[in-house]
Amino acid sequence: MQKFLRRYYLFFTAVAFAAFFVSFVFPFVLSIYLSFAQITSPFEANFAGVKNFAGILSDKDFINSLLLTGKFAIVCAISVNVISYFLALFIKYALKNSDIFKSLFFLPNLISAIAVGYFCQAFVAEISTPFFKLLGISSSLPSFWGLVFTLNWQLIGFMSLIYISAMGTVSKEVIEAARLDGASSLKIFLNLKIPAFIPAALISFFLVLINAFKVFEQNLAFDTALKSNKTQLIVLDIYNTFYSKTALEGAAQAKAAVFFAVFAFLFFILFKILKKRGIKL
Amino acid sequence: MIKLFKSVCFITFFVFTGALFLAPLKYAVFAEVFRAQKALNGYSPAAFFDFFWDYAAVLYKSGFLEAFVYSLFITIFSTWAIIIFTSMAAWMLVRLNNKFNTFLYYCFIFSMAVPYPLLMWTSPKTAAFFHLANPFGIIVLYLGFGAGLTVFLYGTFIKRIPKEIEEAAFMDGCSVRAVFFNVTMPILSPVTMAAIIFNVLWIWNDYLMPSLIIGQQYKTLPILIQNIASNPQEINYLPLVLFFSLYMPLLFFAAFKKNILKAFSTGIQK
Repeated sequence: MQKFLRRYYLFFTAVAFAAFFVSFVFPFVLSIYLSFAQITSPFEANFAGVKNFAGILSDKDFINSLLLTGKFAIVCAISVNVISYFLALFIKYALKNSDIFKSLFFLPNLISAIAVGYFCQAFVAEISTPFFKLLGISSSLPSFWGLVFTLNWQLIGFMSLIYISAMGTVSKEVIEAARLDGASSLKIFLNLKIPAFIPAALISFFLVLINAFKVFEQNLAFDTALKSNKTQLIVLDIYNTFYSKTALEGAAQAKAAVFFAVFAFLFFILFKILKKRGIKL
Repeated sequence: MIKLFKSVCFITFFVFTGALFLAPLKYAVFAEVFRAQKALNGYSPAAFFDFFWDYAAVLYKSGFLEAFVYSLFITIFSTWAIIIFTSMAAWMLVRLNNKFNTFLYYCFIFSMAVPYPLLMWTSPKTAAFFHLANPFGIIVLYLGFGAGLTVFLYGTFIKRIPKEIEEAAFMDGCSVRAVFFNVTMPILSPVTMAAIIFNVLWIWNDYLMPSLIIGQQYKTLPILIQNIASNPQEINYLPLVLFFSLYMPLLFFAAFKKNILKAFSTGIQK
């Protein structure tokens, strides 16, 4: 059959390969090259070494937004995981794993991120302004915390699904058997429940980090609605450098390359964990 | 009696939690209720129809209907293209096992680790260069970007299907094409479902890529929302457009609830 497969090779793969080349491989290689180049137009650039990277290191906005994104990602990773773990416990044991509740908490995941941004911006502003007035501060909640709320709202349903499916991996029979063999509750918890829980916790931790790193639409929505550009996470900073400033394409491309390096690193770790867990579909 | 009481409690609790959790959506929903009340307080029987006309007029004037059609067109055909062409490619890459194919397979998987912001500037330029900056061309772009995840989904599954099934069909006189479409594809249907879910949700909700490539002339729903929100003359349309943009994802979810919950509980997303 191998011989015949070879004959049909192009029939099966040509379209996918062509599309993959045009839309991914070519722009990807170009992007990486351009981050090391002095750009005059996308197809005309001179190699300039690491000049772009040296330039962005002294760019205060970039460093600030990178640090802000890091802070944002860590705050979100912790808060989303803690909330969704308890939510998972609640759905699994108090609500008997009911699908309708899982769906309810999963809903924000289906809405486009830009719409979520506008919904949450209006909501956060409405909730926080009277509260801040009470404290005697005339401003509303900083958009950083608004964005934290937005991402939490979007992701807790998804993450609790992961936790629930991990909780199901230790069956009642196994626990019963362990108990009959003389294991104490503490031992069962340490040696059976924790090992089942750790991969799920790692997966959802890195998933939230990845999602928080590439937050863009929500950030854009907050900025547009508030008509300010004080809180810029990394992707919005890259976007603005490309499209609102002139003659900074090289710098923007270098920023994007740094962003890619961080993102790919997080993704690589997530992929390793997923592979170890033996993804089933 | 106790059962009835229990279910009433459950429903009340569900409504309560639902209202609390979905409170951020009230911005659109309540704005609509107030609009409706205002329309109904006109006291004439005709006002009732006015209210519908109002809706229709806003949907038309804001460009919602047009954007909806573009979004639907792009989502359906991109997903179709991704499913057909990537499943074929993934099958060939896994079954015809040599070094070149293994390398290509890992290239596809690597593309999952590349976020779109890296290509934010080069991708629109290349799209323009290859004359792909139109609603048909963007299907090709989505095929290229969606291929990574979909090849991965299909590839891991195909590796677990025994080769012998296909070889038996081939020995019985099936052509290679028929083997794939009539023997392998039906076995792959659970993955196809997952791939459809991930890709539809991604493409329908995607903002950055279409806004950079076709956003000037052809507005999909997320682009329309952003345009309306950033234009002070049109901002009155925003609640209504946000409200109506909720329908499609909800319908999709209602249709595939079980599959969506199952697909996402693996921790994979696009």
